[in-house]
Order: sequence, then structure tokens, then C-alpha cells
Amino acid sequence: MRPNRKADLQRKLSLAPVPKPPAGLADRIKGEIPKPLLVDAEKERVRLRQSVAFNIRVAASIILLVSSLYLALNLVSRKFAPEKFEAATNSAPAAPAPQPQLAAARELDRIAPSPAPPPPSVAARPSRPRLNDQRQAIVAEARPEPIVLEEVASKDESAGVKEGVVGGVAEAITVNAAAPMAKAAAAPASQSADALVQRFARADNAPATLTLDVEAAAAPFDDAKYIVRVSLDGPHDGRADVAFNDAAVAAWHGIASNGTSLYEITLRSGRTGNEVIATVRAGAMKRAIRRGDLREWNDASRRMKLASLAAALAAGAPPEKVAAKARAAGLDDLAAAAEARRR
Amino acid sequence: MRNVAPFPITAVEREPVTAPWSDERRLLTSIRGGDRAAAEEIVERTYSAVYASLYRLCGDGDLAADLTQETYRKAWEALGGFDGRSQLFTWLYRIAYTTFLNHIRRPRLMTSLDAPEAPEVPDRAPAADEVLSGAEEAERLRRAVLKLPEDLRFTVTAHFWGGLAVKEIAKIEDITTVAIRKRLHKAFGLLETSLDEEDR
Repeated sequence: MRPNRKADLQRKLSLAPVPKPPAGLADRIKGEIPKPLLVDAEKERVRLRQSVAFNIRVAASIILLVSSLYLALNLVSRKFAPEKFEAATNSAPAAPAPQPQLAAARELDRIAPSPAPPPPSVAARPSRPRLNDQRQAIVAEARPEPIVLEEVASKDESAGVKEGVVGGVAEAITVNAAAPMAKAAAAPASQSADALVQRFARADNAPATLTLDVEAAAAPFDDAKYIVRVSLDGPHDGRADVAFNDAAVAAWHGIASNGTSLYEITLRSGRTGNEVIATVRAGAMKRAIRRGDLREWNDASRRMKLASLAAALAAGAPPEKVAAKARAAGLDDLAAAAEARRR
Repeated sequence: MRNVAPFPITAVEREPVTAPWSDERRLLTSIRGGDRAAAEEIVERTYSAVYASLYRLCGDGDLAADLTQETYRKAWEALGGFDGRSQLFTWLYRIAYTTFLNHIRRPRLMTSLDAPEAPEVPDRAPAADEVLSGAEEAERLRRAVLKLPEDLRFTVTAHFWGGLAVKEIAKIEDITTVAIRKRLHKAFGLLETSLDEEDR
């Protein structure tokens, strides 16, 4: 567009002729100003207040909705998320106090009459839950999932007798129904089992400092079950807390609980070797037992073999079988004890 | 390039129709407080500019007066919703422009752009042929402007006939001043084409 032409157009547009407004137009307009003038200020204020209040309500509702959704999602994800056992155990200090099973058991050992009679035979002794047993220590675990052992316990109960690896004296697993997040730490099967285990599972040389020795191996007479040994050796008493991973362990119960604690466990199937079965803590010491750490009984340490066979013997396993197995493993003392028991 | 008028247009083209901002705020506050005198003062300050804008749009003095009255009627009704983001006259111009568009879109009252009435021209005592020639020229231009696309038409009429600054138009159109200048540039191109076609 030519500049001159543009300027000409601008001039024509700007200078278009405009007559004066007709006379009386202003008066006519003024005359039409509404009598109740225009805007009722108070009404406007009320309208504004209502508008603001409405907006605040909407905002509050949205915030509430988002918060509720977040909370619900959080709860759902906590309930159904894949288990992070290590994370859970690491966060344990923030959770309720760890299980005082050893100390409690020792205390109870002092209270309880000693020594207990030998365990009855498997057939004669039905498995039963020990909900009211004074020897049970309730263990609160920092775990959001409900304990799944109830099912195992009831199954065992319905079978009438629960055959334990160590000779058929396995205790029924008990669950504190009133506290789904708490697990009952089963007490030793019997005083004699505990005493026998302690006798044979003692460390050859007591270390100068407190030492935590943890091992897991197949049970001597049942490859489907495993024995977890937790030995706390040293110049003074210590306390070890054991937390089992419910995702890996279907059932467990304690066999002995003094210097050397023994637990018989039944594992779930289909997990990786890195999966944690249990975490053991003793003071600052911490050991994780993974599925890959499990050994065959024959590959277990001498101490483990002694402890597990002693437990089996105390639990009522046939002494000749125990003696034969002990003799084959070079555990002559234990073999002799088993043979003596047979006599 | 001195012949090219810059945007925004010079002071000659702008009419002092708007009160100072603080004064306008004061008047509006008074009106909202129920002060009728403040409303009358607003009318007094703005009605001739509104009338002039409408006259340039419709090219008819009586019609412009009617539309001016209608504009104020609508303004009183809508004053509660005026948020003060633009100047009062800018807001009034928008109402006047919409009122004009509504008028020409009403079939019974539609003004024919092809056979328009000759606009009333103020008596500036020119020769009769000169008056006719000027009036014809103005009418041709008015028709050409009204044939522009809506966005360009509003921009051109608001700027040249309503006397609104580019910045004010940009504010009510919610676009940048650069976009307004582009509109104006485009509008001039179309107007030139349109007028040239008529000349041929």
C-alpha cells in the first residue's frame, strides 16, 4: 500500500463529518437513568460476599476431595504393595518395640518349674494353640500386613497332630487375634528340648565379645522344613530379636530360646534366592537370612547339626534314628545320648 | 514516510471523551453508592462522543441519537458488571458498537448500505458541490469500513470513529497492541482495494 494512500485514508476516517448531537439528547438520556439508581451497593456487597464464599467452598471441596483420594490411594497402596521386607525391618525403630522374646523367655524359664517331663509321643500329643500360655511373648512387628499364619495354624489344628521336623513336637502357631499386627513368638517346645539344645549347641570356645551366629539349614528328618539357628555367644547375656518375613515364611515356631534359639520354619515356594526369610538383630548387630543362605542338613555346621538333632531327640524323634544320624555326622556325644535315651 | 500517520493516531483524532482515571473511579463509586448526580455527570461527559461514534457508524443523525439512548439504557443495566479494567468510555463504546450491530442485523430496521441516506453534514458553509462530494466520499468510506471483516471493522471504527487508543482496544479485545496495529494495517489494505474497485 502506498504511504500517501494510507495517510489519505487515515485522514478521511479521522475527519469524517460529525454533526452535533440533537438538542435534548442528553436530557433524554438522563431522564432514563433508573430511579432506584443502577446498583444497590448493599446488594452488590452481598452478591460479592456470596460469590467469594461460594468460591471458597468450591476450593475447599476440591482440596478435601484431592486429600481424600491421596489418603485412600496411600492406604490402598500400603495394603497391596509388594512387600519390602528389608525396608520394613529397617524402619522398625520407629515402630513398636522389637520383640523381647529371648529375655522374656529367659525370665519365664526362671518362673517355670524345671525340668519339664519328656515330651509325649506325637500320637499322644495333639497340637493346640497356646493363646493363654504364660510363656508366649507377643511380638509386635512393624508390618502393615495381617499375619497369615492363622491359616496354617488352623490347618494344623484340624489335622489333630502337627508333625514337626524334629520329631513331631511342633507347636501350633498362635496369632493374637486382637492385634493383627502382632505375632506370637512361640515358646520353646519344652524345657527338656531347650536344655538339650543348649547342652549340645554351646559354642566350643566362648568369644571375648558378644557374637551373633546365624544359620539356616534343612531339618534333619524333613527336607521340606528348615531350622533357623540364632546363637548369641559372649561373656555376658545378650538379646536377639528375630523377625520373620511373612511373604517368605508360611509358618514358624520356636524350639529353643536360650543362648541358642532354634526355630522351625515352613517356607513359601516360588521366590528368589535373594529374598529375605528373617532378620536377626542383637544390639547393633543385624543379620539377614536369605533364601540363598539355606543349606542342606548335611552341609550345615557341626553346631547346627548338634542343635537340630538334639531338638529332634527332645521332641520325641526315634532315638535310634537320631543316634544313627548323629553317628554318621561324627557327633558321637549326641549319638551316645540318644542311645542312652533308647535304653 | 512523514505522510504515514503513526499509530496510535495523533491528538487531533482523539477526542477528550474520557475523564481522568481517578475522576472516573470517583464517579463510578458515587454511582454505585446511589448518587444520581454522578450518573448525570457521566452522561454529560460521554454522550456526545458516543453519539459521534454511532453517527459515523450508521450515517444517520436520528438513528444515532436513538442508538445513543439505547446504549445508555443498556449501560445502566450492565453497570453492575463493569469491572473497571478498561476505561468507562471504552466500555460504553463497546456497548454502542454492539447496539449498532444489533440494529443493522434487525431486518425491519436494517439500513441499506447500497442506497444510504445522505448523512447530515454540519454546516461548514462550503460550496454545495463540495458538500455533496465530501458527503459522498465519506459515505463510500463508511460503506467500505462496514464491509470489513468483524475484527477489522471493530478495530478501525473503535480507533478512528470511537477515538480509542490502540492500547485500550488491545485491552478489550484481549490481544496485544502489535496485533491491533496489524489489524489496522490489514484493514487499510482491504479498504484501498474496496475503494479502488468502486472507482473502476
